[in-house]
Amino acid sequence: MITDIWGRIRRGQGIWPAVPAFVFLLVFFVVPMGTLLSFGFLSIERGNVDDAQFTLSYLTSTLQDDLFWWVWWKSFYIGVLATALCFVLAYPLAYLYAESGRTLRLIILTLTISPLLTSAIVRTYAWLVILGGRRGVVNAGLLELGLIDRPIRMLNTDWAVIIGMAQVHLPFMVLPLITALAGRDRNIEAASLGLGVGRLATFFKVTVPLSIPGIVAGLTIVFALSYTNFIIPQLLGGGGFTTLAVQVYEQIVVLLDWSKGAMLALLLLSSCFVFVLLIGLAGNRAMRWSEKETT
Amino acid sequence: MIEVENANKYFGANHVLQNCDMSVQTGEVVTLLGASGCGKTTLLRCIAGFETPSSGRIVLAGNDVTREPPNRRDVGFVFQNYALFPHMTVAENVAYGLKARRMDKAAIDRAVAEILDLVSLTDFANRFPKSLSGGQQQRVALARSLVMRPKVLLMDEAFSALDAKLRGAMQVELRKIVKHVGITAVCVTHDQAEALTISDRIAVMNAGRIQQFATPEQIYDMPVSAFVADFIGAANILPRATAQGFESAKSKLNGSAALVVRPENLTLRSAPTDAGVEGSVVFARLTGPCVEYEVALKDGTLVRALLDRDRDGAFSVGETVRVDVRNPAACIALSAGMEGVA
Repeated sequence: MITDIWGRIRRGQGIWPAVPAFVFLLVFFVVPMGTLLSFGFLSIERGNVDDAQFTLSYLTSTLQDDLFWWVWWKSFYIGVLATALCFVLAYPLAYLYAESGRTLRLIILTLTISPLLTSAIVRTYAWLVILGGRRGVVNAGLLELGLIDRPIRMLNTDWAVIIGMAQVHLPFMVLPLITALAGRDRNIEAASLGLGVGRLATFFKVTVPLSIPGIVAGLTIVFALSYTNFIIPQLLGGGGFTTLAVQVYEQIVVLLDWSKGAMLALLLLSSCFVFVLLIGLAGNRAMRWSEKETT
Repeated sequence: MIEVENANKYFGANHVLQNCDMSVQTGEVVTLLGASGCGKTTLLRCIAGFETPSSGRIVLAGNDVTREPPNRRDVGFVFQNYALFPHMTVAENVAYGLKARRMDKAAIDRAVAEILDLVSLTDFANRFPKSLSGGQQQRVALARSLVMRPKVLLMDEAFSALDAKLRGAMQVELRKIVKHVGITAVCVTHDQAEALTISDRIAVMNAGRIQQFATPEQIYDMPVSAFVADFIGAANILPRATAQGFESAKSKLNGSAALVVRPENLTLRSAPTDAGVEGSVVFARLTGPCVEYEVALKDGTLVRALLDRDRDGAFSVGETVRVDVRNPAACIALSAGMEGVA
């Protein structure tokens, strides 16, 4: 891709349409991001950035810190479980959409997109009301029905965070799956049925493999969002709960240790890229049939 | 082998199949021929089980399968776009149905190798469909159906995605393969040349009805309606009043409503003669060894005449000519109600 762009420039073909976006991102994203991340390699005394010295001590101390690895593991497994839950909820919904008529499609699409019209923070607060103590919607309901004697602890657990993330990120899983499933060629499934393979087996052998592009897109977006989200863990995980993203926030905003925070941000960001890359590679492997040239 | 008994199909208020009756013998290749929207694909899908007729019966090999799903009918279906499994290799595509039957692996491998050899695709066994040409994909689709050894092979416009030259070659190839296997096959097409190439019998369909079900020769020589005459080959449909002008063909007309005269059965003469009917040439089109003339008869009827250049000489546009029937015996009389072409 880079060589494509370079080729266009050398041949004198226009890249002008991309210039405004490029300048905007350079000024408002690349430069500030670079500045922040560079703090991870600078020793900053009392907020004085001008006299800062280059150092690798934050990198080495962070990587040697057991607490860092424990927090990283928490971020990772919350991200994985939230993505998995999101996928399990989204696939049937997207499938239903693909099988529906116009009215039901419109309803599903509206219900999927409309949560995006409210802030994620607001929706997370709503989960406080739903999962919260004795008077939360779930506990109150269960108590009322006599199914439980005393409230179940739901808030301030890993699962509260996972459920919250799955809900907040659901649209980003549903939309690419809808694209993949609604546009598929139904004759391929008819062919499978015609060859004596039942509906369920056809679904797993034909429908699911052919929706891999949507699955990869959804998993990538939702994992990246869940792995790096810091609001939901803070609100639904409680005081003792922490992830890498929460740590970045606390180091920079609460403890004012910018260098440590920047280093954590760098590690969070780069590891996120690695995972996104791995999902993409796995997807490419599963999709090797879509390449024109095969051996 | 296949009995379609009084099948009707409605899509909402649309009556797309109207009292269709058809009986296909074992080992026979039958084509459903008609323009788009005539119901031919719906009839095929009813035989396959992808659609259920609103009334009537479908009997395959003596079993009433009208309500059976496709996978319980023992039919193979080749889709218009082939519907290959893009995520499986050629060999996996072909083995797919056999695996579902829980055959043992050695037997599957043997059957796959055998059928790929039959369709000349052995070298492509490990390729994915996307890297194959249209003709190769079509043969994979055919192999995938044939390997199941179905009682009946059904094909929906299986050649329409191929370019003209390849199409002709594949039609000949298909007929050879199908006859070699000895399977009963029903194909759907809108292409009369394809129907003539691959079929033992042709069912010409129009507006949801089977108009004529007969051998290609019978359909060409003895069309039962103007529609059939016009659909297979070219035809001049002369209404009774016009046809009476031709002395030679009068006897053939008898009491019928119209006369079908093929363009090659008309002749033009420029010499002053009383034979035939007067007309003037309005258009001439070269088709290789022959020229097709469009002639306006004096009552306004337009007829087409196909003349051999060497034998019959040339006529120019605007020339006044005498049009006559070459061989009155080859004209087809149509009874009342059969003279409409739509």
